[in-house]
Amino acid sequence: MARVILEKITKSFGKFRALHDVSMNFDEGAFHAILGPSGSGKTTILRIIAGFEDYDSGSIHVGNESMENVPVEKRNIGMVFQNYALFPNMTVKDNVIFGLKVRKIKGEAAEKKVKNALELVHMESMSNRKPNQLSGGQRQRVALARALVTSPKVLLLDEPFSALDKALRLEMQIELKRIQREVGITTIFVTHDQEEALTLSDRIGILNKGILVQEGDPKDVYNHPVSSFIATFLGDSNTFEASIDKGIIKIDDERIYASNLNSQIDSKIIKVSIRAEKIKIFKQNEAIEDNFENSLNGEVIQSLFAGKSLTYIVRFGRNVIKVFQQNVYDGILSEGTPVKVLWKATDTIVLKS
Amino acid sequence: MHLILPKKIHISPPLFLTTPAYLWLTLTIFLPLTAMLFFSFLSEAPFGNRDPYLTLENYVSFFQKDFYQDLTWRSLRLGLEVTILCFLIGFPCALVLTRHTSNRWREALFILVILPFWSNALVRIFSWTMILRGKGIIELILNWMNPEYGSFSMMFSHPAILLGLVHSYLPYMILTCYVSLQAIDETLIEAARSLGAGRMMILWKLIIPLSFPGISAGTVLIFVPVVGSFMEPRILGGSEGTFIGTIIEDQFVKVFNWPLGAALSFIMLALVMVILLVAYSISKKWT
Amino acid sequence: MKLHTLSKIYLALILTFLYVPIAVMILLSFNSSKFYRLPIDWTFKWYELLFENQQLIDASINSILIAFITTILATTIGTCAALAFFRHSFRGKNFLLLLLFPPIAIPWLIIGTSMLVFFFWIGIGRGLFALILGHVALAIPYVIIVVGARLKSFDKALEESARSLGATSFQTFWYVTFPFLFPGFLAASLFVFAISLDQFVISYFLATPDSRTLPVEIYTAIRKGFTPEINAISTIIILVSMSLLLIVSRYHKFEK
Repeated sequence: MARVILEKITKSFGKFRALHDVSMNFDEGAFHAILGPSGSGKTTILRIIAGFEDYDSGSIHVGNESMENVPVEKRNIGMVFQNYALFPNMTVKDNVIFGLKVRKIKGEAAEKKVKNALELVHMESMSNRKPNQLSGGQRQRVALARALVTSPKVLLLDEPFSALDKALRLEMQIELKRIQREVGITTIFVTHDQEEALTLSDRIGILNKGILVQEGDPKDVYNHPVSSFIATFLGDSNTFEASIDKGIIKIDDERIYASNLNSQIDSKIIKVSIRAEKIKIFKQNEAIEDNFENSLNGEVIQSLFAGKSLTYIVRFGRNVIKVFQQNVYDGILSEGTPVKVLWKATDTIVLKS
Repeated sequence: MHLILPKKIHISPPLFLTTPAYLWLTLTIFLPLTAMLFFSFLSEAPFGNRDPYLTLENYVSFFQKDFYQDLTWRSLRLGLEVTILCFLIGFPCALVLTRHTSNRWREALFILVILPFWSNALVRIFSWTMILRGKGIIELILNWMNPEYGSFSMMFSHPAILLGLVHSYLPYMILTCYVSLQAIDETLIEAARSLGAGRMMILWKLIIPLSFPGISAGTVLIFVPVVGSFMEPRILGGSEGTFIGTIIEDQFVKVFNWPLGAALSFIMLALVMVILLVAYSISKKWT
Repeated sequence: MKLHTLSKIYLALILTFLYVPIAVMILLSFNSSKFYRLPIDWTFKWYELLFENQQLIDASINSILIAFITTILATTIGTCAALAFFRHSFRGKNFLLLLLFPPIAIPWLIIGTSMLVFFFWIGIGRGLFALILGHVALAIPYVIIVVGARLKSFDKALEESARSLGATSFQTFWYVTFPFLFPGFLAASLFVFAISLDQFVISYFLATPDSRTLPVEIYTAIRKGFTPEINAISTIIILVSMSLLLIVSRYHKFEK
C-alpha cells in the first residue's frame, strides 16, 4: 500500500497538449476517481502513473520513491484494462498466477494466493476455464484478481466497466467497492461516467482539456462546483447569467437568493447554478408548506417520463429551467400547465467561472 | 429466362457458388489421384500394346529395399531441417517487423521482404550456384581478402541444398508469422508488463503461443513442398542431392516406370498426411 | 536502445540474404563472359541475343499467357467459393472447405505426376490446356484464403442497408460488396499471377517441348548448359514484376 503523488505533470503528443501542470495526491488506501470527458487526459494520466507513457516535466512518487526512469515492469502496480486483456491462451488460474510466476513465487504459496484472489472475486469455481468461456463480468473479475494477487502498491483501473451493460455495471461497482475496502489498496479509477465516479470514490478529481479543474470529496465537489463546466458535467444543472448589484441577484428581472454569497464579488455579472434535483415544482395555485426562498412562476413546456423519475422543462420569462423529480406524486404535470418552481437559497451555487 | 423448378427443390446459392471450384478440383486433383492410386497397383503403364496386371510389387519393393526407406527418411529430415531453419530465421524477422519498426517503414519493409517471391525460383537457385561454386563469387571475395586463400566451393553438398531451400521458402514463414503477430492485441502485452513480466517471458508465454496459427501455417507451406522437392537438390546437390523426390521424378521422366513412381508417391503422401495429422493433434492438446 | 539497433541490423542482414542471388543475377546479365568468369566485363549483348533466342521468347510468352488466364479463372472461381463459405453457414462447412485445400497440403510433385498420369489416360495429354488446368487448381486455395480473409471483416449490415433501400442482389453486389472486396481481389490476383509465373514442378510434368513455360525452359537449359540470355530474361521478368508490385502497393494497402 502506498500513496501516489503527482507534481506538475505536463505531457504533449506532438503539438497537442494532453496534460498541463497536473498535480494530484492519492492517499494511501483510499478510492480515488479521475473523472473527465473524452480527450480530457484522464487515461493519459493513468498510463503515466503506470509507466506506459512518459511525461515531459514534473514528477511522480509512489510511496516515497521516485518513478523517474522506472520501467513498467518494476513498478509493482496492478492494472485493470477496459477490454480486460486476459491472456486468451491461458486458463483463469494461469492468468492469475502469471504475476506470481514473474516474481518467482511457486508451489503451495502461489496456489494459496491464487485461491484467495479468486475467492475474493467469487470466481474460484472457474479456475480451469479459458477467457473465451467467460462472460464480460466474469472476465473483469478475473482481471481484478490477476491485478491484486501480487499485492501491488497501487491498483489502477482504466474505465473497466464501460463495456458492461447497466445492471452488470452497477453490480461490479458494488463488488469493486467491497473488494477495495477489504483489501485496503490505494485505488485510482478512471472514468467518464460521473455517476460511477461519485458512487465509488472517497476522493474525486476532475480533468478537462488536460487541466485539473477541481479535486476533493465527491459531495463537496458536487454541491460546490467551482466552474460552470463542473456544474454541468456533474449531475443536471441549470446555469444562468445573473446581474448583481449591492448583493441583489437578478436573473433578468426575477430576484433570486443565494445564502453563501461572497461579498467580495466586484463584477456586475455572475453565473449561478441550481441543481435540477434541488428544485421543487408545483401547480401555480397549490399551497406549499415548506419555506423556499426562491420562487419563480413559469409554464411547463416539456415533461419527460423516465420511470423512476420525471424531468420537467419549465419556461420562465426568456429562460428555461430543468426540474428533476422522483416519481412520488400521482399524475404528471402536462405541457402548458402554469407552475411555480421553488428552491432554497442554500442551493443556489455561485460559480467562480 | 426463368428456370421453373418444382417447389421442393431448393438450390441454395452458397452451394451453387462452390460448384466450379469443386468441379475443377475433381478433374485436376481427386480424379488424378485416384488414377494414380490405381496405377500404383499395376505392373507397368497401360499404354500402347502393354498388358499390365494388378500387383503389389511396387509397394513391396519399397519395404524390401533399404534404399527407398533411407531416401524417404532423408527427405523427411530435409523437410524438417528447412522448416526449422526458416522458423529460427523468419520468426525473429517477423517479430522485428511488427514490434520494432515504425508504421511508416513497416509497409515498405514488408513489401521488400515479399518482393523476392516474385523472382524466378530457378534463376535464384542458379544464381546461388554462381555464388557457391569453385571460381564463384565467394571464392572471389575470399581471395580478395586473403590472396593466399585458394579455392572454395560449397556446391554439391548438403549445406548448399539447405541454403537454396531456406532462401526460397523463408518468405512464406515471414509472411504467415507477420500476419499472426500483427493480430496480437497490444493491451495484452501491456497487461503482462503491468504484472511485471520482462521481454523474454512475454515472448515465450504470450507472443509465441498467440502466433501459433501463423507458425503452423508457415510450417505446412514449407514442409510439404520441401519433402517432395527435386529441382533444388538436383541443381545444388548433384549426387548429394538424391531424395525421394528425385527418384520419383526419374520414374516419370527418365525410367518411365510410372507404376513404381505412383507407388512411391503415395507412400510419401501417406507419410506427409500422417505427420500433419500427428502434428495437428499435438497442437490441439497444447492450445 | 540496444535491442532496437540489433533488430534493425538483423532485418538488414535478412534483406541482404534475400536479395543476394537477385543482385548476382542482374549483375551477371551484363557480364560478357559466357562462362561466368569474373570480374565483370559490362555488355548488353545477352539482352540483344535474347531477341534471337526463340525458345526463350516462346517460353516467356507461354508463361505470361498462362499466368494471365490462370489469374482470371482462379480468382473468379476462388472468389465465388470464398463468397459461399465466408458469408453463409451451413452444415459441414468446415469439412467442405477443407476439401478445397489439397493443393496446399499435397506435395506438388505428387499433384504434377498424378495429373500427368490422368491426363494421359483420358486423352488430354500434356500441353497448354493441361498446364492451365493445373495452374488454376493450385491457385484456387490461395484465392479462397486471401479473399476469405477480407470477407471475414465485411459487415453484413452494409448489404442489408442497401437492400432495404431497394437495391437488387446484383446492384448490392456491384456497388457495396465488390468495392469492399476489391483489395482482397487484387491481392489474390497478384498472388496467383506470381504463383503461376513461378510454378515449376507442375509445369515440368505437364509441358511438352513446344509448350514449355519459362521456369521449365530454364531448368532444361541448366541441365544442358546454361546460356547467359537466361540471366537477361530473368532480370527483365523480375524487374517488371517488382515494379508492378510496387506500383500496385502505392495505390492499395495490403494491411488492414
